[in-house]
Amino acid sequence: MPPFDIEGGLGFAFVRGISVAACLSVLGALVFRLVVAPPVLAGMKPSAAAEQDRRWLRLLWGSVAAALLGAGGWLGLESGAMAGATGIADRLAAVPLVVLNSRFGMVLVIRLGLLAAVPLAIGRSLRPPRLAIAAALAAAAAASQASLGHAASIGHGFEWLALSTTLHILAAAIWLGQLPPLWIFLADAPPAAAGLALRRFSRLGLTCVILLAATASAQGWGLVGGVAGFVGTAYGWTALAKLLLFGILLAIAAINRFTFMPRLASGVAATARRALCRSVLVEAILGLLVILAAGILTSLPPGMDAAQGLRWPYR
Amino acid sequence: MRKTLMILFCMVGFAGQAIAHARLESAVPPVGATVSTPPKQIAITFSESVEPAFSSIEVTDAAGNRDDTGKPQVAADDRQVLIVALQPLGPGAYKVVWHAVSVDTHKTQGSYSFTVAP
Repeated sequence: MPPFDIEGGLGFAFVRGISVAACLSVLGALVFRLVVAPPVLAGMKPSAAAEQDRRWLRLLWGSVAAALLGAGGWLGLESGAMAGATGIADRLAAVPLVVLNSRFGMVLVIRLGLLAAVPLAIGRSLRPPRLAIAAALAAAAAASQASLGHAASIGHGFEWLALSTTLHILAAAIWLGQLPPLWIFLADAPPAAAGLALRRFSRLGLTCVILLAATASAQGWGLVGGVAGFVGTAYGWTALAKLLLFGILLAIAAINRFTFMPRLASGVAATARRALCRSVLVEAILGLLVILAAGILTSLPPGMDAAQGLRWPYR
Repeated sequence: MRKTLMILFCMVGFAGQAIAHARLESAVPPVGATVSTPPKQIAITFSESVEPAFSSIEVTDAAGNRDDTGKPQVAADDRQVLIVALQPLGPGAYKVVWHAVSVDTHKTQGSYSFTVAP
Protein backbone atom coordinates (compact mmCIF):
# COMPACT_ATOMS: atom_id res chain seq x y z
CA MET A 1 0.00 0.00 0.00
CA PRO A 2 1.48 3.38 -0.96
CA PRO A 3 2.00 5.98 1.81
CA PHE A 4 -0.91 8.40 2.26
CA ASP A 5 0.92 11.66 2.81
CA ILE A 6 -2.14 13.90 3.01
CA GLU A 7 -1.05 17.53 2.96
CA GLY A 8 -2.33 19.24 6.11
CA GLY A 9 -3.70 15.97 7.50
CA LEU A 10 -6.96 14.10 7.18
CA GLY A 11 -8.87 16.68 9.26
CA PHE A 12 -7.89 19.44 6.86
CA ALA A 13 -9.00 17.34 3.86
CA PHE A 14 -12.28 16.64 5.68
CA VAL A 15 -12.98 20.34 6.25
CA ARG A 16 -12.26 21.07 2.61
CA GLY A 17 -14.52 18.20 1.47
CA ILE A 18 -17.38 19.24 3.76
CA SER A 19 -17.04 22.83 2.59
CA VAL A 20 -17.35 21.78 -1.05
CA ALA A 21 -20.15 19.29 -0.32
CA ALA A 22 -22.20 21.95 1.47
CA CYS A 23 -21.68 24.36 -1.40
CA LEU A 24 -22.89 21.73 -3.88
CA SER A 25 -25.84 20.98 -1.59
CA VAL A 26 -26.95 24.64 -1.74
CA LEU A 27 -26.99 24.58 -5.52
CA GLY A 28 -28.62 21.15 -5.68
CA ALA A 29 -31.41 22.19 -3.30
CA LEU A 30 -32.15 25.29 -5.36
CA VAL A 31 -32.18 23.37 -8.63
CA PHE A 32 -34.52 20.80 -7.10
CA ARG A 33 -37.01 23.48 -5.99
CA LEU A 34 -36.67 25.43 -9.23
CA VAL A 35 -36.72 22.62 -11.81
CA VAL A 36 -37.92 19.32 -10.33
CA ALA A 37 -40.43 20.27 -7.66
CA PRO A 38 -42.88 22.83 -9.15
CA PRO A 39 -45.21 20.48 -11.09
CA VAL A 40 -44.99 17.91 -8.31
CA LEU A 41 -45.97 20.42 -5.62
CA ALA A 42 -48.74 21.79 -7.85
CA GLY A 43 -50.35 18.35 -7.87
CA MET A 44 -50.31 18.04 -4.07
CA LYS A 45 -52.68 19.41 -1.42
CA PRO A 46 -51.68 23.01 -0.54
CA SER A 47 -51.02 22.10 3.10
CA ALA A 48 -48.79 19.17 2.10
CA ALA A 49 -46.95 21.32 -0.45
CA ALA A 50 -46.42 24.04 2.16
CA GLU A 51 -45.00 21.48 4.59
CA GLN A 52 -42.64 20.22 1.88
CA ASP A 53 -41.47 23.79 1.31
CA ARG A 54 -40.85 24.30 5.02
CA ARG A 55 -38.65 21.19 5.12
CA TRP A 56 -36.88 22.24 1.96
CA LEU A 57 -36.14 25.68 3.39
CA ARG A 58 -34.66 24.13 6.55
CA LEU A 59 -32.38 22.03 4.35
CA LEU A 60 -31.37 25.06 2.29
CA TRP A 61 -30.57 27.24 5.30
CA GLY A 62 -28.66 24.37 6.88
CA SER A 63 -26.65 23.89 3.69
CA VAL A 64 -25.92 27.62 3.40
CA ALA A 65 -24.78 27.74 7.03
CA ALA A 66 -22.57 24.67 6.57
CA ALA A 67 -21.12 26.10 3.35
CA LEU A 68 -20.33 29.42 5.04
CA LEU A 69 -18.78 27.76 8.09
CA GLY A 70 -16.89 25.30 5.88
CA ALA A 71 -15.49 28.02 3.61
CA GLY A 72 -14.53 30.13 6.63
CA GLY A 73 -12.85 27.17 8.32
CA TRP A 74 -11.03 26.23 5.15
CA LEU A 75 -9.83 29.83 4.71
CA GLY A 76 -8.49 29.87 8.28
CA LEU A 77 -6.73 26.50 8.04
CA GLU A 78 -5.31 27.13 4.59
CA SER A 79 -4.11 30.61 5.52
CA GLY A 80 -2.17 29.19 8.43
CA ALA A 81 -0.66 26.50 6.22
CA MET A 82 0.30 28.92 3.46
CA ALA A 83 1.93 31.37 5.87
CA GLY A 84 3.59 28.63 7.89
CA ALA A 85 1.70 29.72 11.03
CA THR A 86 1.23 27.32 13.91
CA GLY A 87 -0.66 29.00 16.77
CA ILE A 88 -4.26 30.17 16.55
CA ALA A 89 -3.28 33.86 16.75
CA ASP A 90 -0.75 33.45 13.95
CA ARG A 91 -3.27 31.61 11.82
CA LEU A 92 -5.83 34.37 12.27
CA ALA A 93 -3.22 37.00 11.47
CA ALA A 94 -2.42 35.13 8.26
CA VAL A 95 -6.00 35.33 6.96
CA PRO A 96 -5.91 38.96 5.73
CA LEU A 97 -2.47 38.35 4.27
CA VAL A 98 -3.79 35.39 2.28
CA VAL A 99 -6.99 37.20 1.28
CA LEU A 100 -5.06 40.18 -0.08
CA ASN A 101 -2.14 38.32 -1.64
CA SER A 102 -3.37 35.05 -3.10
CA ARG A 103 -5.88 33.76 -5.56
CA PHE A 104 -7.11 31.22 -3.02
CA GLY A 105 -7.94 33.93 -0.46
CA MET A 106 -9.64 36.14 -3.01
CA VAL A 107 -11.75 33.28 -4.37
CA LEU A 108 -12.80 32.12 -0.89
CA VAL A 109 -13.92 35.63 0.06
CA ILE A 110 -15.92 35.92 -3.16
CA ARG A 111 -17.48 32.53 -2.45
CA LEU A 112 -18.43 33.59 1.07
CA GLY A 113 -20.06 36.70 -0.39
CA LEU A 114 -22.00 34.71 -3.00
CA LEU A 115 -23.23 32.22 -0.41
CA ALA A 116 -24.24 34.98 1.99
CA ALA A 117 -26.25 36.58 -0.81
CA VAL A 118 -28.36 33.44 -1.38
CA PRO A 119 -30.74 34.08 1.56
CA LEU A 120 -30.97 37.74 0.57
CA ALA A 121 -31.92 36.76 -2.99
CA ILE A 122 -34.68 34.45 -1.81
CA GLY A 123 -36.05 36.69 0.92
CA ARG A 124 -39.42 35.47 2.09
CA SER A 125 -40.60 34.38 -1.31
CA LEU A 126 -40.08 31.18 -3.27
CA ARG A 127 -40.99 32.78 -6.58
CA PRO A 128 -39.10 31.38 -9.57
CA PRO A 129 -37.21 34.59 -10.47
CA ARG A 130 -35.84 34.86 -6.93
CA LEU A 131 -34.99 31.16 -6.87
CA ALA A 132 -33.25 31.54 -10.24
CA ILE A 133 -31.12 34.42 -8.95
CA ALA A 134 -30.26 32.41 -5.84
CA ALA A 135 -29.37 29.40 -8.01
CA ALA A 136 -27.12 31.58 -10.18
CA LEU A 137 -25.33 32.84 -7.05
CA ALA A 138 -24.93 29.28 -5.76
CA ALA A 139 -23.70 28.08 -9.17
CA ALA A 140 -21.06 30.82 -9.19
CA ALA A 141 -20.02 29.84 -5.66
CA ALA A 142 -19.73 26.17 -6.64
CA ALA A 143 -17.95 26.94 -9.92
CA SER A 144 -15.38 29.01 -8.05
CA GLN A 145 -13.92 25.69 -6.89
CA ALA A 146 -12.44 25.32 -10.37
CA SER A 147 -10.29 28.41 -9.70
CA LEU A 148 -8.65 26.69 -6.75
CA GLY A 149 -7.59 23.48 -8.40
CA HIS A 150 -4.95 22.11 -10.64
CA ALA A 151 -6.89 23.13 -13.72
CA ALA A 152 -6.47 26.79 -12.89
CA SER A 153 -2.85 26.59 -11.82
CA ILE A 154 -1.29 24.38 -14.47
CA GLY A 155 -1.63 27.13 -17.06
CA HIS A 156 -0.17 27.03 -20.51
CA GLY A 157 -1.96 24.70 -22.91
CA PHE A 158 -4.35 23.40 -20.27
CA GLU A 159 -6.88 26.23 -20.16
CA TRP A 160 -9.55 23.79 -21.34
CA LEU A 161 -9.13 21.96 -18.03
CA ALA A 162 -10.66 24.90 -16.18
CA LEU A 163 -13.82 24.70 -18.29
CA SER A 164 -13.95 20.93 -17.91
CA THR A 165 -13.54 21.19 -14.14
CA THR A 166 -16.25 23.85 -13.91
CA LEU A 167 -18.71 21.65 -15.79
CA HIS A 168 -17.69 18.66 -13.66
CA ILE A 169 -18.42 20.53 -10.43
CA LEU A 170 -21.75 21.91 -11.65
CA ALA A 171 -22.86 18.47 -12.86
CA ALA A 172 -21.91 16.95 -9.50
CA ALA A 173 -23.87 19.67 -7.70
CA ILE A 174 -26.98 19.19 -9.81
CA TRP A 175 -26.89 15.40 -9.45
CA LEU A 176 -25.55 14.71 -5.94
CA GLY A 177 -26.74 18.02 -4.49
CA GLN A 178 -30.33 17.18 -5.34
CA LEU A 179 -30.29 13.92 -3.40
CA PRO A 180 -30.89 15.46 0.07
CA PRO A 181 -33.96 17.47 -1.02
CA LEU A 182 -35.23 14.47 -2.98
CA TRP A 183 -34.85 12.28 0.12
CA ILE A 184 -36.69 14.82 2.28
CA PHE A 185 -39.44 15.07 -0.32
CA LEU A 186 -39.85 11.31 -0.68
CA ALA A 187 -40.09 10.79 3.07
CA ASP A 188 -43.64 12.10 3.17
CA ALA A 189 -44.83 12.38 -0.43
CA PRO A 190 -47.81 10.50 -1.89
CA PRO A 191 -46.59 7.69 -4.18
CA ALA A 192 -47.81 9.43 -7.34
CA ALA A 193 -45.96 12.64 -6.43
CA ALA A 194 -42.90 10.61 -5.48
CA GLY A 195 -42.96 8.92 -8.88
CA LEU A 196 -43.24 12.21 -10.74
CA ALA A 197 -40.41 13.76 -8.71
CA LEU A 198 -38.15 10.77 -9.35
CA ARG A 199 -38.91 10.81 -13.09
CA ARG A 200 -38.03 14.50 -13.35
CA PHE A 201 -34.91 14.06 -11.20
CA SER A 202 -33.76 11.04 -13.23
CA ARG A 203 -33.87 12.95 -16.52
CA LEU A 204 -31.72 15.72 -15.09
CA GLY A 205 -29.53 13.22 -13.26
CA LEU A 206 -28.73 11.22 -16.39
CA THR A 207 -27.63 14.38 -18.19
CA CYS A 208 -25.37 15.21 -15.26
CA VAL A 209 -23.89 11.70 -15.15
CA ILE A 210 -23.03 11.88 -18.86
CA LEU A 211 -21.43 15.28 -18.30
CA LEU A 212 -19.50 13.93 -15.30
CA ALA A 213 -18.24 11.01 -17.37
CA ALA A 214 -17.13 13.22 -20.24
CA THR A 215 -15.36 15.77 -18.05
CA ALA A 216 -13.81 13.08 -15.85
CA SER A 217 -12.36 11.36 -18.89
CA ALA A 218 -10.98 14.65 -20.13
CA GLN A 219 -9.17 15.31 -16.86
CA GLY A 220 -8.48 11.91 -15.47
CA TRP A 221 -5.91 9.59 -16.84
CA GLY A 222 -3.10 12.05 -17.36
CA LEU A 223 -3.37 13.41 -13.82
CA VAL A 224 -3.43 9.95 -12.31
CA GLY A 225 -0.18 9.21 -14.11
CA GLY A 226 -1.01 6.10 -16.12
CA VAL A 227 -0.97 2.59 -14.72
CA ALA A 228 2.01 3.34 -12.46
CA GLY A 229 0.26 6.25 -10.82
CA PHE A 230 -2.98 4.36 -10.59
CA VAL A 231 -1.70 1.32 -8.71
CA GLY A 232 1.41 2.72 -7.07
CA THR A 233 0.35 6.02 -5.51
CA ALA A 234 -2.04 7.13 -2.80
CA TYR A 235 -3.60 9.42 -5.38
CA GLY A 236 -4.32 6.46 -7.65
CA TRP A 237 -5.76 4.42 -4.79
CA THR A 238 -8.02 7.28 -3.77
CA ALA A 239 -9.13 7.70 -7.39
CA LEU A 240 -9.86 3.96 -7.43
CA ALA A 241 -11.98 4.32 -4.29
CA LYS A 242 -13.81 7.19 -5.92
CA LEU A 243 -14.39 5.10 -9.03
CA LEU A 244 -15.77 2.29 -6.90
CA LEU A 245 -18.10 4.64 -5.04
CA PHE A 246 -19.25 6.14 -8.30
CA GLY A 247 -20.02 2.68 -9.63
CA ILE A 248 -22.13 1.90 -6.55
CA LEU A 249 -23.89 5.23 -6.96
CA LEU A 250 -24.74 4.40 -10.56
CA ALA A 251 -26.02 0.97 -9.54
CA ILE A 252 -28.27 2.47 -6.85
CA ALA A 253 -29.54 5.09 -9.28
CA ALA A 254 -30.36 2.33 -11.76
CA ILE A 255 -32.21 0.34 -9.06
CA ASN A 256 -34.19 3.41 -8.08
CA ARG A 257 -35.11 4.12 -11.67
CA PHE A 258 -35.83 0.63 -12.95
CA THR A 259 -37.02 -1.22 -9.85
CA PHE A 260 -38.59 1.17 -7.33
CA MET A 261 -40.07 3.75 -9.70
CA PRO A 262 -42.33 1.28 -11.58
CA ARG A 263 -43.50 -0.10 -8.23
CA LEU A 264 -44.71 3.35 -7.17
CA ALA A 265 -47.54 2.92 -9.66
CA SER A 266 -48.38 -0.62 -8.52
CA GLY A 267 -50.25 -2.13 -5.60
CA VAL A 268 -47.17 -1.97 -3.35
CA ALA A 269 -46.66 1.76 -3.78
CA ALA A 270 -46.31 2.62 -0.08
CA THR A 271 -43.68 -0.07 0.48
CA ALA A 272 -41.87 0.98 -2.68
CA ARG A 273 -41.84 4.65 -1.56
CA ARG A 274 -40.25 3.72 1.77
CA ALA A 275 -37.66 1.53 0.06
CA LEU A 276 -36.96 4.26 -2.46
CA CYS A 277 -36.56 6.78 0.36
CA ARG A 278 -33.97 4.57 2.09
CA SER A 279 -32.19 3.99 -1.19
CA VAL A 280 -31.94 7.72 -1.94
CA LEU A 281 -30.56 8.31 1.56
CA VAL A 282 -27.84 5.71 0.96
CA GLU A 283 -27.14 7.31 -2.41
CA ALA A 284 -26.83 10.75 -0.75
CA ILE A 285 -24.39 9.40 1.86
CA LEU A 286 -22.30 7.73 -0.84
CA GLY A 287 -22.39 10.98 -2.81
CA LEU A 288 -20.95 12.75 0.23
CA LEU A 289 -18.21 10.12 0.44
CA VAL A 290 -17.36 10.72 -3.24
CA ILE A 291 -16.96 14.44 -2.54
CA LEU A 292 -14.85 13.71 0.56
CA ALA A 293 -12.69 11.41 -1.57
CA ALA A 294 -12.27 14.32 -4.00
CA GLY A 295 -11.24 16.43 -1.00
CA ILE A 296 -8.53 13.88 -0.16
CA LEU A 297 -7.40 13.83 -3.79
CA THR A 298 -6.76 17.55 -3.61
CA SER A 299 -4.50 16.99 -0.60
CA LEU A 300 -2.35 14.33 -2.25
CA PRO A 301 0.45 14.71 -4.75
CA PRO A 302 -1.16 13.69 -8.04
CA GLY A 303 -0.21 10.35 -9.51
CA MET A 304 1.48 12.00 -12.47
CA ASP A 305 3.98 13.57 -10.05
CA ALA A 306 4.27 10.80 -7.48
CA ALA A 307 4.62 8.05 -10.08
CA GLN A 308 7.84 9.53 -11.43
CA GLY A 309 9.90 7.75 -8.81
CA LEU A 310 8.19 4.40 -9.21
CA ARG A 311 9.69 1.40 -10.90
CA TRP A 312 6.81 0.18 -12.98
CA PRO A 313 7.10 -1.32 -16.43
CA TYR A 314 3.89 0.14 -17.81
CA ARG A 315 4.47 3.85 -17.27
CA MET B 1 -29.61 1.95 -20.80
CA ARG B 2 -27.59 -0.73 -19.01
CA LYS B 3 -24.89 -0.50 -21.68
CA THR B 4 -24.80 3.27 -21.24
CA LEU B 5 -24.36 2.87 -17.50
CA MET B 6 -21.49 0.40 -18.00
CA ILE B 7 -19.71 2.80 -20.35
CA LEU B 8 -20.19 5.64 -17.89
CA PHE B 9 -18.83 3.48 -15.07
CA CYS B 10 -15.69 2.86 -17.07
CA MET B 11 -15.28 6.51 -17.98
CA VAL B 12 -15.68 8.14 -14.62
CA GLY B 13 -13.71 7.92 -11.46
CA PHE B 14 -10.45 9.63 -12.00
CA ALA B 15 -11.80 13.12 -11.98
CA GLY B 16 -11.90 15.53 -9.15
CA GLN B 17 -10.01 18.53 -8.10
CA ALA B 18 -6.71 16.95 -9.04
CA ILE B 19 -3.94 19.09 -7.68
CA ALA B 20 -0.42 18.96 -8.96
CA HIS B 21 2.45 20.68 -7.26
CA ALA B 22 4.75 23.38 -8.57
CA ARG B 23 7.92 21.69 -9.79
CA LEU B 24 11.01 23.39 -11.11
CA GLU B 25 10.98 23.14 -14.89
CA SER B 26 13.91 25.39 -15.72
CA ALA B 27 16.04 28.11 -14.23
CA VAL B 28 18.23 31.01 -15.31
CA PRO B 29 21.11 30.54 -14.65
CA PRO B 30 20.44 26.86 -15.40
CA VAL B 31 20.64 24.19 -12.70
CA GLY B 32 24.28 23.12 -12.20
CA ALA B 33 25.57 25.54 -14.83
CA THR B 34 28.81 27.48 -14.85
CA VAL B 35 28.30 30.98 -16.17
CA SER B 36 30.95 33.45 -17.22
CA THR B 37 28.89 36.57 -16.52
CA PRO B 38 27.51 37.04 -13.00
CA PRO B 39 23.70 36.96 -13.16
CA LYS B 40 21.72 39.92 -11.85
CA GLN B 41 18.72 37.79 -10.98
CA ILE B 42 17.52 34.23 -10.53
CA ALA B 43 14.48 33.26 -12.58
CA ILE B 44 12.87 29.89 -11.92
CA THR B 45 10.11 28.58 -14.17
CA PHE B 46 7.71 26.27 -12.36
CA SER B 47 5.23 23.77 -13.70
CA GLU B 48 2.40 25.81 -12.18
CA SER B 49 1.58 29.39 -11.34
CA VAL B 50 2.92 30.41 -7.94
CA GLU B 51 2.02 32.91 -5.22
CA PRO B 52 5.01 35.27 -4.81
CA ALA B 53 3.91 36.51 -1.37
CA PHE B 54 4.27 33.00 0.03
CA SER B 55 7.22 31.79 -2.06
CA SER B 56 10.93 32.48 -1.68
CA ILE B 57 14.26 32.12 -3.42
CA GLU B 58 17.36 32.31 -1.26
CA VAL B 59 20.82 32.46 -2.78
CA THR B 60 23.89 31.88 -0.66
CA ASP B 61 27.59 31.76 -1.45
CA ALA B 62 30.06 29.14 -0.27
CA ALA B 63 30.46 30.95 3.07
CA GLY B 64 26.70 30.94 3.64
CA ASN B 65 26.18 34.66 3.02
CA ARG B 66 22.85 35.70 1.49
CA ASP B 67 23.18 37.17 -2.00
CA ASP B 68 19.55 37.73 -2.94
CA THR B 69 17.82 41.04 -2.31
CA GLY B 70 14.68 39.74 -0.61
CA LYS B 71 11.15 38.87 -1.64
CA PRO B 72 10.72 37.45 -5.12
CA GLN B 73 8.19 38.52 -7.72
CA VAL B 74 6.49 36.74 -10.57
CA ALA B 75 7.22 37.78 -14.14
CA ALA B 76 4.83 40.40 -15.43
CA ASP B 77 3.53 38.15 -18.18
CA ASP B 78 3.89 34.73 -16.56
CA ARG B 79 2.94 33.72 -13.02
CA GLN B 80 4.88 30.48 -13.44
CA VAL B 81 8.18 32.38 -13.42
CA LEU B 82 9.50 33.47 -10.02
CA ILE B 83 12.28 36.03 -10.01
CA VAL B 84 14.56 37.40 -7.31
CA ALA B 85 17.20 40.08 -7.81
CA LEU B 86 20.77 39.45 -6.71
CA GLN B 87 23.53 41.46 -5.13
CA PRO B 88 26.59 41.76 -7.37
CA LEU B 89 28.14 38.29 -7.43
CA GLY B 90 31.80 37.41 -7.54
CA PRO B 91 33.32 34.20 -8.87
CA GLY B 92 32.43 31.07 -6.93
CA ALA B 93 29.75 28.49 -6.24
CA TYR B 94 26.26 29.52 -5.18
CA LYS B 95 23.38 27.59 -3.73
CA VAL B 96 19.76 28.40 -4.58
CA VAL B 97 17.08 27.22 -2.15
CA TRP B 98 13.50 27.77 -3.28
CA HIS B 99 10.14 27.37 -1.59
CA ALA B 100 7.05 27.66 -3.76
CA VAL B 101 3.37 27.89 -2.95
CA SER B 102 1.36 27.25 -6.09
CA VAL B 103 -1.90 29.09 -6.67
CA ASP B 104 -3.69 25.90 -5.67
CA THR B 105 -1.96 26.42 -2.28
CA HIS B 106 0.38 23.44 -2.32
CA LYS B 107 3.92 23.81 -1.06
CA THR B 108 7.07 22.50 -2.69
CA GLN B 109 10.73 23.16 -2.15
CA GLY B 110 14.09 22.34 -3.64
CA SER B 111 17.61 23.51 -4.17
CA TYR B 112 20.32 23.55 -6.78
CA SER B 113 23.69 25.14 -7.41
CA PHE B 114 25.40 27.17 -10.08
CA THR B 115 28.88 28.59 -10.43
CA VAL B 116 30.20 31.93 -11.60
CA ALA B 117 33.46 31.30 -13.42
CA PRO B 118 36.55 33.30 -12.37
